[in-house]
Amino acid sequence: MRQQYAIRSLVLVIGFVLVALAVIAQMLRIQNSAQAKIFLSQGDQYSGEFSMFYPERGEIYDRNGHLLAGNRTVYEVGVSLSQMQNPEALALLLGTYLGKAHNEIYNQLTNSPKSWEYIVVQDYVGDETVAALQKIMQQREEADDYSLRGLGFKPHFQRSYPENALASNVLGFVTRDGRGYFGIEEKYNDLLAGNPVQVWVPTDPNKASEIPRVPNGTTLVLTLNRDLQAKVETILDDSLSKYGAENGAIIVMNPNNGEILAMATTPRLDLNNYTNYFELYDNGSQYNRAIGMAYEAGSVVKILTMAAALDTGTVTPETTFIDTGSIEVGGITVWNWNRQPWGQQNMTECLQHSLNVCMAWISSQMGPQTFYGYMERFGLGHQTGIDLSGEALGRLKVPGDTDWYPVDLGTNAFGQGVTITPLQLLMSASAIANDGRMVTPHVLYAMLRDGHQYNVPSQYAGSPIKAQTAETLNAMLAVSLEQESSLALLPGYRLAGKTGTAQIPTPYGYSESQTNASFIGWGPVDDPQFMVYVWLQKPSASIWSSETAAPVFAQVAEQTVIMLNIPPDLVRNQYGSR
Amino acid sequence: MIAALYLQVTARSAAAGREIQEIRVQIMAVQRANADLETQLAGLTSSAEMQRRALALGYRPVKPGELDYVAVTGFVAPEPAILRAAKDISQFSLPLPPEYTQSLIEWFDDRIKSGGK
Repeated sequence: MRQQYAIRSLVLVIGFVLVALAVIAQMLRIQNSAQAKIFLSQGDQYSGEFSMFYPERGEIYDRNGHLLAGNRTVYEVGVSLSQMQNPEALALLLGTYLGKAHNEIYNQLTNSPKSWEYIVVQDYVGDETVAALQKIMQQREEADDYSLRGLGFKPHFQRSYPENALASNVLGFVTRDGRGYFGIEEKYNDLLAGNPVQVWVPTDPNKASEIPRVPNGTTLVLTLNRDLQAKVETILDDSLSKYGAENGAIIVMNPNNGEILAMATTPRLDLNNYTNYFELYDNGSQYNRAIGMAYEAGSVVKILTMAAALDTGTVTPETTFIDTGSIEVGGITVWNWNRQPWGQQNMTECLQHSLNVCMAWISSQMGPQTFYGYMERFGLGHQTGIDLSGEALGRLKVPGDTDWYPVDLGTNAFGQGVTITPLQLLMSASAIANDGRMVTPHVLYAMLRDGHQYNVPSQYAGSPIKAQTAETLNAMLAVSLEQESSLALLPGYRLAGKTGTAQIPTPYGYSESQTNASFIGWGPVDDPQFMVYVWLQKPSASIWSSETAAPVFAQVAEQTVIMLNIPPDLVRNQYGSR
Repeated sequence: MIAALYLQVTARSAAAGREIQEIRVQIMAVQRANADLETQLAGLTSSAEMQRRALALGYRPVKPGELDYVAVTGFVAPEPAILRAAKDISQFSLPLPPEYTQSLIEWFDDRIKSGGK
């Protein structure tokens, strides 16, 4: 009996072992079969996904911490096709809220390739729209209506400009592909954008690991003063309207360190609607005329000619010149702006009355080598190196160039035949306002990254003239401004400056009726803390700079002394003497 | 007993992993909300908006002659908040504690090396 049980037990054990072996064999067969690899690869597809983590684009602030460019959340609205239950209901809802045709969405949802899992219906949808869609989804699901199942929203950042068009010419803009165009956004695109990181993110919580920290893009603090920028833009817009000018530019710079405090141009683009770009501009150089458009500025260049002449000792402020109304240079007669003789003039009076003949005589006395040597040292024909994209070169013809003629020595001396950008002349003249040292203009004040602040040091672009020359010319320009261009004066402050009225070159010679009106000035003369350049294109109310650009300069100077807390000379000297 | 221990460790690991995933989502949501609020605040205090509100309150732009200047010895204008904040940002980037990164074996190894302290 016991033996019988033993045999039965043995048979059962053998049976169980055989079954177990069969199970193991089957497991091994399945695991090593051809289909196993397919199943494994299918499983791997769902074990996680490669995710690209894009850093938040760095913000841009003005020097007082006002946000000029930030980021806001927008959504990619899409449908998961495997979860979708009612394409008709989805198409109806999305068509209504996203402003797209119902048929278009319905075809997209129903006629997509079989392999597609997810369809993007629309990207960059605002949070108000998404909130409304989410509310409807929630209401329907609470009522056991799952017709909107599959609808999803993926948040991401979009560039946002809280000040809209303010300083648009300096900031530039970022398109939907994340690339910066123009201004700061283009110049510092790599810094602002940061470095995206691709990471394998497992769906299995057991395999969850720390995602490497993706540092945000570098935050930039600009030298711009937002409130001054707003004031200057308002003044520019009003002056275009008042004087009937086509366009214009105004720059305010600190002559001691090259910091740009305001840079206004027209037209300006609402950066939150950058797609209007092509309606406003014919080409990229118009985006920021202050740096992108070189033009013949006329008499404002005379201050550089006088600086060179004083520095070389060719003239002194007391040197006299008998103005007969015309002078022959290179076989061609050069005339004064009013074609009248002015008689005996000293050098201050030559600047005061803006005499072309006097300037042509001065450059002839210096000779081409000396004159053009100084113009080169002042940076004419070169970029200033400002940290904004889209800077134009300007043109200074020099002896040896195929299009240079001897008469150019005379005409270039009073700003004809030489093209510059407003910023170039501002940089050149900074040597006069800054004891002979020329500053490199810049708009970046500091960079913030990972909690560290990196300040941008000021750079100097050489000393084209001696400090003594700068001091002498400062005084001459202050006197000439006081005696000639009363509309540019600011009560309580001694300023230096020069007008520039330039006829506009055409294929048939210079236009008699259209001019570029410019003005460059700075103050206070004994301690210059701001420089201003004004350019009005083709003013129709008056062709003269002294009647258009000069009063605009006074308005800008008035706002600048208020915004920068610069007391009147009398008050400042009282405090300084204590 | 080993199976129970293994099950317990696995369960805790899974729970921690899920917590990491949820915190990660929360961090991203907070970052987005922060950026949105910053932009919203900047819009509410934009130059045009502040000017509009000032005019509505009866203020007008000041003229140079209406200003009084007072010299304050030793006064240094304060830095803008964005520059002051830059020095403190690093405290928000602390690494994950070892509980979230160590494996069981690494934890044993660590304990043995530290003498069980």
